[in-house]
Amino acid sequence: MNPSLVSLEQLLVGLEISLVVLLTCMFAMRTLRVRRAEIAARARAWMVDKMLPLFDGDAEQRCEGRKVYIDDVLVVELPPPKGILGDAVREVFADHLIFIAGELRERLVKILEEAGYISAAMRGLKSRNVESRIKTCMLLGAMHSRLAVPALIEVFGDDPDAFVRIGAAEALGAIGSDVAVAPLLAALRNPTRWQQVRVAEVLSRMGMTAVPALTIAVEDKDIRIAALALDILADIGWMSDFGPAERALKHESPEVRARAAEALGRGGATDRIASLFAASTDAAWFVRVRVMKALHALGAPLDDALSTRFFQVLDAGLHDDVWWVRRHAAEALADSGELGRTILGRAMLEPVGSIARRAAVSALQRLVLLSASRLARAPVPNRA
Amino acid sequence: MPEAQPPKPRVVVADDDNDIRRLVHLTVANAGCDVTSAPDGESALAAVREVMPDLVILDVLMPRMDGWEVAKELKRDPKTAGIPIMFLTSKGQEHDVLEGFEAGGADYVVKPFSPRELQARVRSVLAKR
Repeated sequence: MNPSLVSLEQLLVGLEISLVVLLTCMFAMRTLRVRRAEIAARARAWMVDKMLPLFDGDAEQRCEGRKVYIDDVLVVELPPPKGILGDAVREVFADHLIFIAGELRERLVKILEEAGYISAAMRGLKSRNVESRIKTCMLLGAMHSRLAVPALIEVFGDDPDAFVRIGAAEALGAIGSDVAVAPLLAALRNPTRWQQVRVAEVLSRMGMTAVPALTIAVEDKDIRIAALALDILADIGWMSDFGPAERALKHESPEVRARAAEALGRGGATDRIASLFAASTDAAWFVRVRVMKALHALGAPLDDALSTRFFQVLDAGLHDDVWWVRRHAAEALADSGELGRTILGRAMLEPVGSIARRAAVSALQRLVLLSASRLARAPVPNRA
Repeated sequence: MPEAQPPKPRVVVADDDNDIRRLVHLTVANAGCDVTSAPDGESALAAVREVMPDLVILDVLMPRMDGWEVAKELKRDPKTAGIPIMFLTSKGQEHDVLEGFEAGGADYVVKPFSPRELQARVRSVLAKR
């Protein structure tokens, strides 16, 4: 017998057996996955049913380890954090914590903490696998527990992977702890632009929690930090103290001055409007643009003297050399009532080539279109 | 002879998310209301016309017919125009809130919401009826 033919036959048989084994394994794994998904879905439905009494705002709740009592009656014993059932519990809690706020959220988070779910999840932060560490950060953010904050701050500062650090930043932002603000602010000094931007987004989403520290950062010697802090405050739209932003209107850098104007406008600094009037003649055109936008956001003051000055400044803006300044001044006037529209009307009587006239026409056209659109969307009264 | 209990206020709740709809149903029921739930805009309209509730709570982002369209339909019909509408939604930008009120909304609650706050707002709107 030819030895090479024998070995070829053996090879073919071997391949056939391997193929059968492989297909069997694949089928078994698919069955296992489907089965696991079915178990997870049933576990989830069971968990949702059990959780319903927890949403009763007036009932007395108590936790002993994984046992949850309502009015001293055992309502549910949560499964251990590991495994399919533990995953289902985490999923159900995370799904609900997204849209619940206030006291009920605090209570649900406390249940997770007492039942050991937070500490179990935190172990994932030490995984060697980068994807696991990122997923753990996302999960901890979704569970909103302050217990996880120190560990997340540590990961944010020390993890070798940038995506894990950003994941930790986002989790800290979701939890909203004021302890996290300082390290996040410090991270704004990161020279990598995309990481700086992501951290700025996280601070912006933290809202009022981050405002006090951001307000201090406005006076940072590093212009980038001062500018970023003002941008974030403008996004948040609220400030605890307008002083630093008002002082920043006189900063040596026009970039900082422009951002200061925007932050004051969006922050509602009506009692600092006089400083904005002064900044309306800034040498840098983009500062003047932001001042007009800020005045638009604040609206005409109630005080007669300030109101007069408000309209004088906008009228001057309508005659600025730079188109963007004229445009924003015109928009502010269009939205400032009768007096604003009178000033625009006067500008329309200027000679045809007048730059103010063109800006006034655009603003009034936009006003007419907006009004028509609102009328078109209004419900038609039934005349029957 | 025992005093007859006053009828419970009737509320229709519409949200396409099962979890949220269940939670809002429970929260509003715990506030002492009879609640009818609907999973989308069209069902919500049908439920309102059948039940004639004292309050409608609408999510905005729903399939087939969103909350704005449901509200406008209700305001167009003289039989349902007087029913107060509360929007419960994740759309919380200023122009969304203004659009909600322009569509005839009596109140606007942004998610994430506190169930206690929702109950207080429901009671407040019902008390004005």
